[in-house]
Amino acid sequence: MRSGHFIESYDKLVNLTDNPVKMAWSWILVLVLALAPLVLDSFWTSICATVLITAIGIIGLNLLVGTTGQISLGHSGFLAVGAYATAILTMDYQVPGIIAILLSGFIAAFFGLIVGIPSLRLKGLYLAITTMAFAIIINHVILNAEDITRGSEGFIIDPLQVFGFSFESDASIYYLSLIILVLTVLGALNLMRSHIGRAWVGIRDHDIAAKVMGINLTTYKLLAFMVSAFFAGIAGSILAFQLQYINVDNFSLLLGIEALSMIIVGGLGSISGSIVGVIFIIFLNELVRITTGIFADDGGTMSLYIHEMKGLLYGVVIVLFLRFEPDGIMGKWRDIKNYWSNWPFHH
Amino acid sequence: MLKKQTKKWLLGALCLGGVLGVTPAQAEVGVTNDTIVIGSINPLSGSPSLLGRAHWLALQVWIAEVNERGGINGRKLKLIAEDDGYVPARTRQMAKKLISKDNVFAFLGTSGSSHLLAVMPLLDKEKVPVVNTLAVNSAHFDPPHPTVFNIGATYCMEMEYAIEFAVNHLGKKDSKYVLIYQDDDYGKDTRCGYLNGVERYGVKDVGQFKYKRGQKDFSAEILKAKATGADVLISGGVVAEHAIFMKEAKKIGWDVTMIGMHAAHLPPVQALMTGADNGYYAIDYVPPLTQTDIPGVKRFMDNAQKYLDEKEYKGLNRYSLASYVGSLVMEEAIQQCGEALTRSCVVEKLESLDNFQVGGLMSGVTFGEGNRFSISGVLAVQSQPEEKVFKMVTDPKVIPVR
Repeated sequence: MRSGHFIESYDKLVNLTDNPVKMAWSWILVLVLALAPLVLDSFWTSICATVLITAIGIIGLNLLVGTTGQISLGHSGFLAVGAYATAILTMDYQVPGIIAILLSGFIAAFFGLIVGIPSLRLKGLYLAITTMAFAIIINHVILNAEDITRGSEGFIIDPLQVFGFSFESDASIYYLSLIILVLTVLGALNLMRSHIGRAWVGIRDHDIAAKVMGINLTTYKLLAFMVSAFFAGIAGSILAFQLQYINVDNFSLLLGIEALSMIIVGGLGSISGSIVGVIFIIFLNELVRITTGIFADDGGTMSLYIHEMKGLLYGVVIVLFLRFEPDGIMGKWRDIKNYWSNWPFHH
Repeated sequence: MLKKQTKKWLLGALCLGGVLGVTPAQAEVGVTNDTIVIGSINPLSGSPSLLGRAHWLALQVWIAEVNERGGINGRKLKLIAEDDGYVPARTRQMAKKLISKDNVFAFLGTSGSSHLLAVMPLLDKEKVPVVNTLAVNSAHFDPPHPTVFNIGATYCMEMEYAIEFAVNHLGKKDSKYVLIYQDDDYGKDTRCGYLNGVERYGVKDVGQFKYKRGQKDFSAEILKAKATGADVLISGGVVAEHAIFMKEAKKIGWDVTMIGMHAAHLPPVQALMTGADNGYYAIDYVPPLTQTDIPGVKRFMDNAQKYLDEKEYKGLNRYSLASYVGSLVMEEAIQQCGEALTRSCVVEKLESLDNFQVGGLMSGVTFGEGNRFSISGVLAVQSQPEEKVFKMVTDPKVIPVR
């Protein structure tokens, strides 16, 4: 009888997975996702594309917060940098869209490096405030650097063109996001298995101990900020192509807090947790919208204030989740898996 | 054999025709024999819900009124409203939902200024008629978008009239003027009107102070404004800012005449100002709800009393009247199209409107080829803190686009 899951060689340890069933399910999931736009209407395809785009940014945030233990409330700032970099590069400098996506990631990574510098001296709440300040600064720069960013009027962006094909439809943006998300997941999983990922985990668990073991805190902390910002920048770039219009209102501070709630609900330090968290929060939002819509359509007094209830319901679900399942959905999944793997000896 | 093959070809052609949707009697999106589906996106949650709810309530009144009359050309109206929380990305998502899932025929309201810009590519692509009266910005009509029709006045027009009003009606030709404005495109538009007014009426501008979006404390700006020796404050506040300016002014003993733009003409602003309200003025393009001697206001308020409950009735404000004007304009275009209702017909009829009267709620509505902005005359209202109402103090005057 199987009494646990043991990895017995280094090769197995660096493999993405040593479980063929898991691999098969992963490919089936990708296949299902690839077929989804064929059965979904334009609205739901657009919601799913938003899930995929958000997941790219959230994986980046989870690498920083969940894996490296560096809190950030300023990821809306990196998202804004990515979106505006794409808008400026494609609309004002006619840089091809696909190159602009990559460049936007690198530009956001550069800002990540700048924000990361204070992280060498700050921890916890102090770091949270510093990163939040970054998001505020970015918002003010966008509003005031009118010649570059069009100020609060915002930017209208042409659809992404690749070899004459226009990514105008929701399905095309969905497929683009899916491809980039798959690459992001593979990249993040491999990073976590490399010496970089192990160094990040070391820093998260005990930075002084990690330093004693020879891990260069400066290099790895800054790298975590840069990689995280890179993914957020890429997400911002695709978001710009999806929306075709960006302005400062799309990157409020609340977005950074919502992003943190996604990784907490999904599971800190877990790539699949990041994706599950995004799905949970975005679809919860839709579920609340549909539920409140039922009452809103009745035309009664309740319909007047029902939309205010949305935020309340949304908040209550998250609070209850954190109270009863602080390890997130992936934590619960691990518990269930362990229970059945070790049954009847689970305790 | 030949006959069988011909039948097959005919059947194939019919199927293809069906798939491509080239059947001769193709129905218009959002229109059936007995209903027309109208979409609306409003900020119904969060602090801007003050605007969105009032707009949505007016649509409810209009729909109830029209449906009780038997609809337009025999078709009853159905409203599908969505909340965007005042986030442009959400506005776009909701517009997509309303267009592709709910198959709305037209839009009455697409939230705020940048929110309409966010959905503009979608509206252009889908050719959905829109009447916008909630927030008018020059980017909405310059360059013109074929299906988007705007009615009202820009902030620039309102603020230019603020100076004219102060000079001609309050006798403040020799006064000193100061402006406090927000550091964004709204503020830019406010300042545009202020500068136009200063130049046109030759009044003395003693200072212009910019504040940051989202700022809550204005003590520094008010101190600086007072130090200029100004006695007329042109307020570029958004909503609550107007009240905060006056409260700060009272705190430091600055006796000033404040003139704000149309959002100052909201009961919550008046309520927030309690104790500091010296009878401030607001410039608007719709009259106060209490001005029932104007036929349009009376008609709307009577219907609102009939179709809304007490709580809903209390939620009405100047945005409701603006929304009602948009509804009347849309109704007229649909009416003119008759039985064969299509989006292109509505766009054509909207475009051909020439001085269409809306019961004195706004100036006559006029569009034209390449003209997607019907300018409405602006008027001044004064706060009556004792009665907690606003009183119209001037008749509407059209300020041209400069």
